[in-house]
Amino acid sequence: MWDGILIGISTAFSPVNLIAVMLGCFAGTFIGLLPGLGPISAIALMIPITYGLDPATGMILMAGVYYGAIFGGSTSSILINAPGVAGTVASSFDGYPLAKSGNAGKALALAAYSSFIGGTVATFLLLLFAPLLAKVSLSFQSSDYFMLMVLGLTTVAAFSGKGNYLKAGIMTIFGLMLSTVGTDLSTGVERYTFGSIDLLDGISFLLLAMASFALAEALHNILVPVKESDTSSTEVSDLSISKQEFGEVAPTIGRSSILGFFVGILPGAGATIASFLAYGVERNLASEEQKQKFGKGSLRGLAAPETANNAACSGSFVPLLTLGIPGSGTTAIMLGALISYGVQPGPRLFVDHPQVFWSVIISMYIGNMVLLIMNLPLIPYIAKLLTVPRPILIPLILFFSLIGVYLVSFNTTDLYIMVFIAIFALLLRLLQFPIAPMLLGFILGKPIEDNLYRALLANNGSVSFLWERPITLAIFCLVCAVVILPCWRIYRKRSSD
Amino acid sequence: MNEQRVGGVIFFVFCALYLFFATDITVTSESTFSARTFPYILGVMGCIVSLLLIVLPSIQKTIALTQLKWSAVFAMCLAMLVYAFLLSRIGFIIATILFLNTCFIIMRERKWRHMFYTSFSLTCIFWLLLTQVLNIYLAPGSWWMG
Repeated sequence: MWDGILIGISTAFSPVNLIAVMLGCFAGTFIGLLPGLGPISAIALMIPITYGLDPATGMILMAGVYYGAIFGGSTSSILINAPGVAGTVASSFDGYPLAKSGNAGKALALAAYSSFIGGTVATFLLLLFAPLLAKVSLSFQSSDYFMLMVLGLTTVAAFSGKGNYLKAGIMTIFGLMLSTVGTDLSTGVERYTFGSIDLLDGISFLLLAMASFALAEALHNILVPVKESDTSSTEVSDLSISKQEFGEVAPTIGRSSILGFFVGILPGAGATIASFLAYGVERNLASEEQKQKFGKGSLRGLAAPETANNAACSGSFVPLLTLGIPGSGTTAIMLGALISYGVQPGPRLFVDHPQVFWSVIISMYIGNMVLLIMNLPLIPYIAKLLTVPRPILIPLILFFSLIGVYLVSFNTTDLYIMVFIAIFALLLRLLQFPIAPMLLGFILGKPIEDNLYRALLANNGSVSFLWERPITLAIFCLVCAVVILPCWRIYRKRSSD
Repeated sequence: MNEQRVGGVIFFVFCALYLFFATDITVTSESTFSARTFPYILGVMGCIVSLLLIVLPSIQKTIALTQLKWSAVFAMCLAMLVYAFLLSRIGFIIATILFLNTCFIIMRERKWRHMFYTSFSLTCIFWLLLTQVLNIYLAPGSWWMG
């Protein structure tokens, strides 16, 4: 393990990777700051840039974009009450009242320090847990992987459906269906190509990610314009907090760091649930007098979600790096990018590509430092971006999305397909179908089919592997619980209504 | 009809077609698992879930689609398709400047100087970055090449 850590340190501290993490943090902060654009879009926009890079550098850049976007989202939540990212919505509850009362600098500084500590604690926990889990998962077989991926898909569907489990479920199946387009690698048979040569290799992951997130989000911003925010509180002055104030929030930060990390590990939970949960926990733990301050500019109310969302970002890397199973839309895009670099994520990543595994973990710590040391003092200037008019900004996002895909394939047919997918994704968004499960299904489709094929082959075509192997059986029981529990809850709710 | 049922009908049609076209997939061996098996499983699961979407009552509200800015979105999509058409024909620089300015106009930006400076400077910087720094060849456009 120490050899791996040393390899990771030397890789993460190489000049190229240090530049990558800085650029990632800056780009993420800029994009996350813009209301309506989240980390998924930010990372999708980065994929074409990372294609020519070393896998470790590419991943470091994207990880930097991820927590940079969360940091940027907090800034717009606090300054203009317009969260750029769902994971920072809870930060606006107390951050914006603080900014309105003339304490914008204090609120931003507290958010940055909380994020830094949350991220650092979570990185340490990641360092501790990821290798352990990776070692355990080395004993996994095809049937275990198959079931584990099914568990990932069902939990994501259960959590990300915003209360509508069926919609998330059909989107997951839709993503799996899209993954079957092209030549089946196990049998060499063409499926759903309809004679088109362009479809022989299947649908491009980059194209799908860019069209369904970056492009669709920009179109959604045109269709349903975000209401003009009050930018009067974007003036940031004093960025300091007193020792007494820090003492007040220290226990909150400690609790929220651990809570955020473990919530982040759960597939589908991620930064949004972590931040709301941490906010709720702090509110419940607060005395009656402190409880009154929540929602009116409480420092604890700001520190809790800020710590938890950053810790959850690191936590979400555990299933990605150790099992090769993304727990959220953001890590699903990273998984797709890793596969396109020729690196197969999973337990073997720890053994076959230790420089990628460890350098990503080490770079997270560097990224948190970058956000604190460089981005925080620059926030008064970066916040000026909020004043850029949307009629200028949206066309630029469209341009970067289109040209990003074009520069990979140099095929204008991809751009036509992209526009149609974006329109379809926009309609699905309007009908309130979540898009992230679709992408997750698309990315996990091929490995699921492959592992099912191998498990059946090893069992002479029998599905007895579901109950014969204890690990598979245990995961299968979890899948059943994840599927049945929400249905039972819906049934009970409706019958009581 | 509310949005859940509309979505359910769309997906049911899609899944039924998916299942129908799965029968066209060639089967090369007699084994239990062929290239058709996974699409069959998905198609059946998709039909069941989309039927549940149609049948089960929904508590979600319907959305007022008429209050949205559809004309701007359609104009923007058209601009993107025209950009894709022109990119290989008139070259990156002219196509991009035209595309950005069209988008600015669709977005009701009327500060002509801002529009011109933004589109021109961004396109030129991006072109220089791609061709001179990253050594990516961008064809000048088939119409100019004869």
